[in-house]
Amino acid sequence: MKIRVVISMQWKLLSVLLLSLLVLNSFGSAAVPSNEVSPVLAEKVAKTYVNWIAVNIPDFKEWRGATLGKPVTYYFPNGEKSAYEFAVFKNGKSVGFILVSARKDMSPVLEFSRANPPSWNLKKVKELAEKKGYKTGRLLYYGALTYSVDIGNRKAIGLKDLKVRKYPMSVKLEFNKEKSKKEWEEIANIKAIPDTKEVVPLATWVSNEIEGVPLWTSTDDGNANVQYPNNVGPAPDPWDDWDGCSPISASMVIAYYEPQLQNDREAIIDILHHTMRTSDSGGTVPDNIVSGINDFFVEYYNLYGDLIVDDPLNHYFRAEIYWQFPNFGDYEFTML
Amino acid sequence: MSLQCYDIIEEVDSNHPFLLGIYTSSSEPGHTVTGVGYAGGAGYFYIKVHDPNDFVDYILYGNWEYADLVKIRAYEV
Repeated sequence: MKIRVVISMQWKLLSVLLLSLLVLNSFGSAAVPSNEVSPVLAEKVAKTYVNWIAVNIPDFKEWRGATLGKPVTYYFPNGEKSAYEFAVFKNGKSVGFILVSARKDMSPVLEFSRANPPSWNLKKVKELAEKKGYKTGRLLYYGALTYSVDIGNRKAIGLKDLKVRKYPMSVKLEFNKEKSKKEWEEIANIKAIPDTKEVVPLATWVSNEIEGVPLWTSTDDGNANVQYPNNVGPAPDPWDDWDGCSPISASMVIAYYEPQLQNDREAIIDILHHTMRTSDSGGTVPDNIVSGINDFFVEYYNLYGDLIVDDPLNHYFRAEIYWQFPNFGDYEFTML
Repeated sequence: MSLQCYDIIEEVDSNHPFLLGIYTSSSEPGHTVTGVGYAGGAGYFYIKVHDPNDFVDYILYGNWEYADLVKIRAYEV
């Protein structure tokens, strides 16, 4: 009889204990879902990587002894957290930002730059949204360079380019989930964050960069009542203000090989806009990027003959595309 | 042909800036940037890009749904 009572008591105790654990666990899940990274852990990652980057990447020596701002949270279009942005400061001045993943199935550090943090343009975006009659919502990030502000109806305004664009409802980023989780475990187990004096350059860390490639954007106006090629150069263009990411990006490569054209930025961009058959809104079909670069030399020389451009070219150009698309034929892409 | 990290390393190490097309969805337009460098180690690989929106950034390889690489070669006239 005694034995039965004791066993019964033990079962009751065990049941209470199990129930308590279940309740605690479910509360824990509600606070930080298993894949979600807490702001505290994200800050630990940011501090660790800022120190590693400062020591291992030559551009970032200024990050030695840097401090971090408060985390700014970005979201996927489905409302889940996607990333934390940390401003990086040195002696009170902005020296860049680091973007840390908010999910343990994505690699810990997604981007870093010496530019000002994208969220610092939020005021400008809000002013623009108000002018256009949009209400601003959450900050969005759903892959490389996609920082933007939700304005509803699957539309967002870019924090860097201030352009209105549609955003996808679902994204599949190309991360190895298991590898990412291991990386997060390793970081969580680091007990003390080494400062830059203690971090030694990694023997396995490699970096390299090409000197002399200009950093360009396009600044000439658009929507002018003029026809190509009368717009070639700094004159306003017949298309929209934005000349398109593909002509501008390719112009930087052309100018790298043709340094005598470094003062003819808008002319190179306008000619590439024409040869790439870029749309008025700045969109370019990928195949046209390749043919547009291949056709640049002949088009440029036609304009040189017409005295529209001044300097001769020293090179002709050939482009080739390497795809990563599994079923490219199923999609019709444009680049904006 | 499929894009790999070593394609990017090869382009940078041979002083050939390239175009990188980034697609975060098969249903929305992508974004083209100019690739000028890389940094990587211990399983991480970052590409240094000049964004035509006038800033320089290091982006993590694979932080996209699809990507393409446009190799460009210049030949003397």
